Amino acid sequence: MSEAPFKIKGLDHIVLRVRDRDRMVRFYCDILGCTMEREQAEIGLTQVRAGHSLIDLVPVDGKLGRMGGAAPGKEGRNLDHFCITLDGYDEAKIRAYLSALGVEIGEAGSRYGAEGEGPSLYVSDPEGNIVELKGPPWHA
Amino acid sequence: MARVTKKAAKPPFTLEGIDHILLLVSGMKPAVRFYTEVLGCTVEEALPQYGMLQLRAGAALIDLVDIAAPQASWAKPPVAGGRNFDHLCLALGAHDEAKLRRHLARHHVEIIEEGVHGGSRGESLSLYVRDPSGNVIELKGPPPA
Repeated sequence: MSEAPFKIKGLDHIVLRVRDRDRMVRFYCDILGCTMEREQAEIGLTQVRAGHSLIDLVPVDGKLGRMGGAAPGKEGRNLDHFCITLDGYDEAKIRAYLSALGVEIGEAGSRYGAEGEGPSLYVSDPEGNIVELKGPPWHA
Repeated sequence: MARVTKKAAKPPFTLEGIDHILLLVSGMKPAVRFYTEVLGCTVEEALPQYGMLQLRAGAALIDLVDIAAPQASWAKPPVAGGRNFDHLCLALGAHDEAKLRRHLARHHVEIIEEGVHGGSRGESLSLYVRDPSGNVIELKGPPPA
């Protein structure tokens, strides 16, 4: 079999299907610190920046969202979770910060990611998507 | 959640990017063939006890979880066919577009949509394909120099 005529550099963006755009923007921008990149209300697309990647929010009742079928729920999903790399990881501070904002925090642990094994914890976004927040690898 | 009563504090961290994504697939064999032979991912680690396979996609990982396998019952959603994410976009390095199209055709991978629009690196051509489980993958090169 011939080799692919390209190399993958990494993940550019992921597109989440959302019910409540404003609530999700508050979570990703005000709480996690994403920045607003671009808004295309006419097609129902909000793009926020998470470091070198983008997270796109597509309301399921918008033009783009309607093409993707019914709204997602905890019960039906094709994405288990996604993980964002953090620059700086002080678990106590992150916990205090997130719990003050009412964010549901899951299990913390040492987990394997693209840069190696390092500390991480899981949080839930307002619509039940699991977001893993991961610090730099232990050996860095 | 998110009861912000006073001026919100700044997060005690900055975001670097998406590290990995855990995708649900149905049937590991066709999924692996697609992600390794068609897309060129490499196997990082097999975790059969969880029905999982970790693949490297450049700087990131794509973890596949085979919800058809009994070991992956932990990840299996109660309702089949639901989608909480619309698609995933892979950042490709510079490449020859004609060769990319021929490569996909040779693997019988259909381009379901295409267009020039913005990604994290700027505007460039995107080709959309489906993995064997129906997850939509956007293939996006760098913006023209």
